[in-house]
Amino acid sequence: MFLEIKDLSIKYQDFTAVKHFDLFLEEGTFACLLGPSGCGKTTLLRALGGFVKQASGKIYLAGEELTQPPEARPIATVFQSYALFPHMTVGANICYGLRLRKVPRERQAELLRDMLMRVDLEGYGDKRVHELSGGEQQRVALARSLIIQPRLLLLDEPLSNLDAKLRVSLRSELKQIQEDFAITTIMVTHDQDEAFELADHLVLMYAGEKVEEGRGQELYSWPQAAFTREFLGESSFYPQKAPERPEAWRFLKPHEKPAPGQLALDAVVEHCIFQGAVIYYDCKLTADDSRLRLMEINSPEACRPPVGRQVTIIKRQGKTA
Amino acid sequence: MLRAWPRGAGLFYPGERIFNSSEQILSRRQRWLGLLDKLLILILVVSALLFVLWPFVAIFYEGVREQSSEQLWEFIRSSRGLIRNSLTVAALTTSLTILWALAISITLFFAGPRLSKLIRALLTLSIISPPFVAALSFINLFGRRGLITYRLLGLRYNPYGLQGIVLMETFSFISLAAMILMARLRDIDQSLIDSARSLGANTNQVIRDVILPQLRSATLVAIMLTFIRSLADFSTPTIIGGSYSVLATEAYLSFISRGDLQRATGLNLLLLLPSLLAMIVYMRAYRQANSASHGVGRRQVDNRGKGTFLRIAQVLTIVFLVAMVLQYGSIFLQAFGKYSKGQFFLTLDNLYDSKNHIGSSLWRSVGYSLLSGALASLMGFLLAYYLHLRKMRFMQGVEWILTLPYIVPGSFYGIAYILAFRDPPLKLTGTAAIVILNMLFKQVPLATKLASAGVAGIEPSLGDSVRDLGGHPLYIFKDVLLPQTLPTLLLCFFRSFTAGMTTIGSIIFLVYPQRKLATMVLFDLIQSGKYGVASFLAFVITLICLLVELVARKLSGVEAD
Repeated sequence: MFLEIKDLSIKYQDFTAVKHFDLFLEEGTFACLLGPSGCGKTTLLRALGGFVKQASGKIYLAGEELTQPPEARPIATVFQSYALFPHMTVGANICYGLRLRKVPRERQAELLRDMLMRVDLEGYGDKRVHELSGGEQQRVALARSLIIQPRLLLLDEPLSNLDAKLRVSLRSELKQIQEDFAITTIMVTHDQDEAFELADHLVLMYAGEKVEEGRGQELYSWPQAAFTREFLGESSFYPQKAPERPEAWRFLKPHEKPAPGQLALDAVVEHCIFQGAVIYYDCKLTADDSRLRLMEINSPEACRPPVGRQVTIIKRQGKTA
Repeated sequence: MLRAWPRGAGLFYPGERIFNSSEQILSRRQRWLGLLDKLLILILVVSALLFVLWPFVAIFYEGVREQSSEQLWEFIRSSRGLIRNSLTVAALTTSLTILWALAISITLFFAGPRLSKLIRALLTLSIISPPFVAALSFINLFGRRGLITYRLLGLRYNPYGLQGIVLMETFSFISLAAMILMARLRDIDQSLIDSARSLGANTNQVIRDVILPQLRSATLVAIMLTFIRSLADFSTPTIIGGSYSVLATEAYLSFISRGDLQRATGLNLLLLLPSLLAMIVYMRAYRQANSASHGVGRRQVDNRGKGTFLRIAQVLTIVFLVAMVLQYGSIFLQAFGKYSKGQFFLTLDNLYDSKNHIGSSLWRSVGYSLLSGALASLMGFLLAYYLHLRKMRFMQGVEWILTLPYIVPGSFYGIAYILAFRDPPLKLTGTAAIVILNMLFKQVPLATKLASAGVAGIEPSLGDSVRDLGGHPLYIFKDVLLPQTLPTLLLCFFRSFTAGMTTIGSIIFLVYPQRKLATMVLFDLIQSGKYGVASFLAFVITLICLLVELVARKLSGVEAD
């Protein structure tokens, strides 16, 4: 495997931030470390970058063990704040790594021109960092890391500094750049939607441990661990049967009758939660007063029962992909 | 390691090996920089041990050796009077100083921009003046032939004694105390005041319930600092104390007049005790003051107010302003004026006269101050770099050691140097080096403080980025710290220069007659009654420092703090 993390543990004094972590990635994969705050994902990233000492375990990149300080590792990190050098121009920022490697001036200029074109920042070479928007700064940070041709790219919550709309539009750009450069990437995020969209391989973490990993669809639809089921997506609070996602249920339409043998639950709508494209309903089941959450797409066919209405809930037919 | 991308897709230049030699370049450079790195750390550590810790050890050793505990107790008992006097002066001075400092900072808080500027300017002027300028002007104004008491009112008033000391020390120390409080007020969370106002509080209540509580730890810092400075001050009591003796004056006289090093050492050790206690309180208060709630940053807020507290504060402030004007006015008049046949007219006599006395001392002061200022600033910034950006824990110990010269009385520090460097292989007494080193390490604490404040504003991930992209940690100093803190560095340099120009406490013990510094010449002139020439010299020193301060402000773009 291209990247091999074997039994990695990281300790801060008496607190173990990462416990016995294993990860194996193929070249060119876009992996996401997903988890709640404090689960150790950023610590793990910093350990890969060489900024944090590991207590035990080994990391292999392209067959070679990584033990050097950050400046000698073939890894580049884009930090959450982008960490662009404020007193340098965009061009100087991007070429910084090249300068350190004593690449000749003309060659630097060529590489810079090329890179600016690639990240869609042509002509920005002489601009100052503070003149740039958040999205532009992110692209400069990426360019700065990519131009030194690292073998592994690490991204620490690269989109969390941006406002919601920008975040969504930049996600696809990020993916595009990663595919373009075909560079093995590990991204840390706490945003599930990001992870679902970007990751070829998703790694769920909690309390310093790897909980589960796999493709997004697998983890979402067939979670093995309880944490996975609860952390990813919304869950329905229906305890008696196997827990389901809200989209597994729907309302029985006014003139519809349940199929023979089909589970039909009587309930009362308690809360209605509008989320734009979808609407969630929290319902209380008449049978045992337990709660169930289901979801409707906000389309013309939606039932939209108001709060207090008696409804009947059934399961949607079919199999998940 | 950094091989070019093997695959054709994606990264630039398939097959091209751009960085085939980068590995060698990086590692060769790492080696050189690694050596430089270690060298710099070594310099810092050795400096701390050799030029700060060793002198302290030397003075403690000298003070207690060959002394039985009986002799020690006898010494302490016989110095009872001096101790009492020192503490009395310190207590009175501190009380008055803090009272005035509070008054001024509160007035400033509610004042308009123009008045603020004026007050700040005068406070700065006070800070950069030689320390006993107040005493000099006091004699000029209220002395036996003072401008006010004698010329104006025809009185023969004797200003010497306790009241003179307390008054003059107060006026010397108000500026620093006020600056400390003002800095805290500038950071105050404006929304606290706004909410108090919106709940119906008038000015008196705002002052009492919001401002004063917020100032609590800063006030404590100012109190401790003033207390320590008062204990350490020997120049004012010597000039204006008359027969009222304090520990500092007695220590100075023991050494200078009688050459009794042991007695001077003993007295300084006595002086150290209350200073250390105050220092401990100061450090705790300082930490508290820094962690207090800070506002997002006050923009141009219009705080107008009325009420009795404010009125009193304003009156006190006006008294201070008048005193400042009188102070510098009198010096100017005494420098460039003369009485003859009951008439007053301007003259340059003092200018000509001064040539005999000042000699090369002024240039020497400037030279020493430039050198020590530059080195101190560099050292402070390096220390801040290793401490905060490289996060080297043991540097905290080094920082602690390097802070010692700041907190001990000047005479203590000066005598410590004599005792430490009078014998080979470290014989430095009588050289320029010992004076410059003494000045340097006295200024490093302030430089470190300024540098740390500057460095605190630097985002840590910038340093990580440098390393991530392949730079040795020393590159963080060059490419992140220096560019971002250059204004602070310049400010630090100029402030250190000014401190060097106006210092006297410790160097008076170290300088030989052939190699006098300007402040010493000034002190001698005052002692020998040549007030005219003294005023002229004081004027020149103040002018130099003022010019430097203005240049510093301009170049560094930093506002009055």
